[in-house]
Amino acid sequence: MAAPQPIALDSCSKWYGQVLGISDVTWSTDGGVIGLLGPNGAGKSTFIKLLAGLLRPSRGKCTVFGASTFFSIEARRRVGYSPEHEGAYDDLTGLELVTALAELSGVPRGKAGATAAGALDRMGMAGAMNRRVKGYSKGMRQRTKLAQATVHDPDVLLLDEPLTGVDPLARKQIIDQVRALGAAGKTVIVSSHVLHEIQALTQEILVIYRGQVLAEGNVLEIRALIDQHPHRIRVDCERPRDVARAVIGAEHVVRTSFDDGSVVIETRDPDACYDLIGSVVVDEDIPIRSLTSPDNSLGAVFEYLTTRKGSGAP
Amino acid sequence: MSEAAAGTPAAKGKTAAVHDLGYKPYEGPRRPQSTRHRVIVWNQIAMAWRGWWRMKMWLIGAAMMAIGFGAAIYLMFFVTKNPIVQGMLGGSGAPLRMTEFLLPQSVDFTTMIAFVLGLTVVAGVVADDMRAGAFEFYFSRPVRPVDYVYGKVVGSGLIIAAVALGAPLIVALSRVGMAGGGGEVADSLHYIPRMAAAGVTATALYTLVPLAISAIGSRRRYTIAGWAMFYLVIGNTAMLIGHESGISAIGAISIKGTVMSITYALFDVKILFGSEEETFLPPVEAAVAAAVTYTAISIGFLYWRVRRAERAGMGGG
Repeated sequence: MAAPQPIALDSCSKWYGQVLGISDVTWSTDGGVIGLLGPNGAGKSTFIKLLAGLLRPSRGKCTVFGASTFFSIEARRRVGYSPEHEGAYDDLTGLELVTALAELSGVPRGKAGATAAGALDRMGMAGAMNRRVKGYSKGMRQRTKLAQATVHDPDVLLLDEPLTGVDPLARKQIIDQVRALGAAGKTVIVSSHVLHEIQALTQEILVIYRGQVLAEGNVLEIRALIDQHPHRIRVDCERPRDVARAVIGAEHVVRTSFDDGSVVIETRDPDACYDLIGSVVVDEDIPIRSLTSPDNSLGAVFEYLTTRKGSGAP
Repeated sequence: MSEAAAGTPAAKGKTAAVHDLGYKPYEGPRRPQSTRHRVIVWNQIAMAWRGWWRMKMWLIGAAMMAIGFGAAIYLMFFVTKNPIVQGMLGGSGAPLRMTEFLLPQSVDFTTMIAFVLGLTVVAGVVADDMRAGAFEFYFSRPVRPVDYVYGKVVGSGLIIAAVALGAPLIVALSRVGMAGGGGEVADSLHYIPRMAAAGVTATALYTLVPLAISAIGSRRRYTIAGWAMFYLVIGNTAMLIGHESGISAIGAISIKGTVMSITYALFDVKILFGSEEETFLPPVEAAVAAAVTYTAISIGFLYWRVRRAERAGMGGG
């Protein structure tokens, strides 16, 4: 009989009264680091809380190594969870907090302190572990949360938005740690609504939108699919029609449209288009107020993916 | 991954460098499930110990009160034993009775401090955990609601007991220590279990009721205000109504009235001055029934709220 998969959801749904969390999700993984992507309210936190055993599925099954984390205390031993929020016992020091949580996870009292100190040290918190949590910066709090999630050596790590609001140094440390955990054979689910954050961690992604799995697989493949979609560039300037007239003949420009004093250019080659716009505004002396791309957000990716899904594209 | 990507482990696609940061799996023994609540107990005491106004100030107050009562008993005990004083009092025995009255009366004072400790330490405990999202830290681990409730009850109970049980026991021991000889000591030993029983009753009620109130909502200020309102307004009003209506059992709604009624009964003391009709305290039968009811309802409600919060994924901040 094959060993149970680290994570498996079978027709799993969760709703809160009339509000849908996730809907009929069937998904599993053999391990590694997986980026869980989705816009705010997509169901990422619900997905992670179901795996952490904090929520009971309204329908279907959600298992970690074959056991339901909601119903099985034993299954929770194998899970480490870092919640999105930061509050909880701010009056304790980082070391006291992680030590207490290590003990709750089963680390014996005699070893909990040293184990917690080690976990904090790996997160670059050695110098601050004896300070109270309420004096921590956002990045230090994130690293402390990561330390408490890993302190009991879980097989499955669930990290809800671990990179939100952290400084570049903390970001690098967290990314290094998550990669190390993945390399150590752990299954790590990292949620984010920022695509490039996830790309720094892993190439395997699971995209959730409105409670359903929208896309999954290698991020490069998904990006390639997205790149086939015309890229939009909005030029807010004094003479939008002159800009449109100058770029419309280019081979890579699909179409132009006007919107509230600006021109929106759709192109299949964003780099070439940015060069072209630069040349046009310099040559024709057109003052520009702003140059933005609505497609540089994850929202645009979801918009594209949902459009594909809705149109029945494969 | 899913069917489409079956057999493609997520790690397969990684190309970035992996750094060895010293991560080593923990392979030691695990703490037994039955001792998880102790972590919650010590965590709560550690939190309460932070700052002067939460706990330390009131412990000092309770200690000073115990010393004060000990000194008062000492003075009365020895002064009333003086033959001259006894002669002046005509051997009525009233001062000696007053000495013994000080023992249960000390419980009256410690309950005031226990009430304040309930405000500063207990009445916001579960609300704080709900608001701050601590439940997510607890229940994503191998911790059951019963472990959480047990830990919070014992943690809060130890803090309240330091005042509501510890201080009266010190007073009782002081009284025993003042006994002259072996026989007198033996005669006065009965004060200790009586004070212990009164202290345990006070500890139970001054722990469980504010703890249950703290589980009503997730806003600390409201649950603390709820405990204050229940204790001061509802309790005193109930005793007043009980007294005025002649149905003194109504006074058992008051936590303080219940504790003092049981305490006075334990010492077989009604009131020092005046008649029994003038007391606002409920009859002891009603007080015992109220104590049992409060205990059962508080534990039941607390468990129900925590269980519900766990199942509903509450406490997510």
